[in-house]
Amino acid sequence: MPITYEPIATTTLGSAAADVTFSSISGSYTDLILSFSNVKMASGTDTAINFQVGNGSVDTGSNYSFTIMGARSASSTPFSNRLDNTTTGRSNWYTSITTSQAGISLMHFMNYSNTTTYKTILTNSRVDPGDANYSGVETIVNLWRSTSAINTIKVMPNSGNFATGSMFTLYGIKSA
Amino acid sequence: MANTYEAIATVTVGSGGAADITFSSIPATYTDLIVKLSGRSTTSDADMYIAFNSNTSNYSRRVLRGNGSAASSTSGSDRYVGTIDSSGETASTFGNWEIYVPNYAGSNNKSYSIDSVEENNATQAFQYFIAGLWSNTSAITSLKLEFIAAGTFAQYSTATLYGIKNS
Repeated sequence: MPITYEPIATTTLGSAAADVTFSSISGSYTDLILSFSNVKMASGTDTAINFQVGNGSVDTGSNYSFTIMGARSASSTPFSNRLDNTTTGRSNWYTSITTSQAGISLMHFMNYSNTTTYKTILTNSRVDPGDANYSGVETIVNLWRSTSAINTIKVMPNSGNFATGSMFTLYGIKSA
Repeated sequence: MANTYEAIATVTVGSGGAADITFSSIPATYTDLIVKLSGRSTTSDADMYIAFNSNTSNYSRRVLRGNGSAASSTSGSDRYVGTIDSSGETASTFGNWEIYVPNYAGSNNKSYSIDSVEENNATQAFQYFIAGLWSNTSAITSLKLEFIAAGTFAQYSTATLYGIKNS
């Protein structure tokens, strides 16, 4: 049976870090999945987890947009929101990791290596229950308005650093 | 390159149903676990609960639920992990459910996430996103799904446990 779900790289932080970057990603897969595991803040409370993608280097221009649906502990009312022309995409927005509440997330980069279409990135994120305001669930659809193939992915908290022990794994999925 | 998404075990419920679906003696050789379930309850009780290592304490969860016309959110300090199809819903229709448990063999508390749908040929059907936490640092060696009221898994319910390696 062909191997269709392969680990490309794993980063487990040995010290606090402001961002994690995967570069020189092979274009030989159909889709990519970036998995967050036990991701916490080194100090304070994060306000979002952002990401940027690009070819050779990440795109820092206002070429991202995203729409969110989710729920968090601060309210029993679910929420939905959208931002256009932003300089990053997002895997978390209203939920926030803390020093004790870990986040787990699966980011799906669809058809990431084609050079014809803009790129869609779907994220499903969860922050551990326990925080009075920021625990919850979110699903976000992101658009990167570029036809360039993605071979670089950078994830970073909106402010502050990821904690030691936060783990990020990039997988490649082949359709055949 | 290593094969990293492996089926560890599959349970298929036979005639007469089953009170629970349990995966035991889970090896610690993977990085993450995924369970995919196609399931239905034989009764009106279709609220599923989870137990890792047969432990029923120190769970919490946040749920986002859509019913086809509105969304709502709930939280609780319990083992609830979503609702699948009950006997009151379209016959021969099974709900789909997936749990992702990263770093299940590590020494941290165990976070898990769930996506599921409760299929129904009617105006109202349900979709769930759930964030869960088992505040226990033990490595997960077994995983049990059950109904704590009166439900049993119907015949043809199937669940497969997958292990994912990151190297």
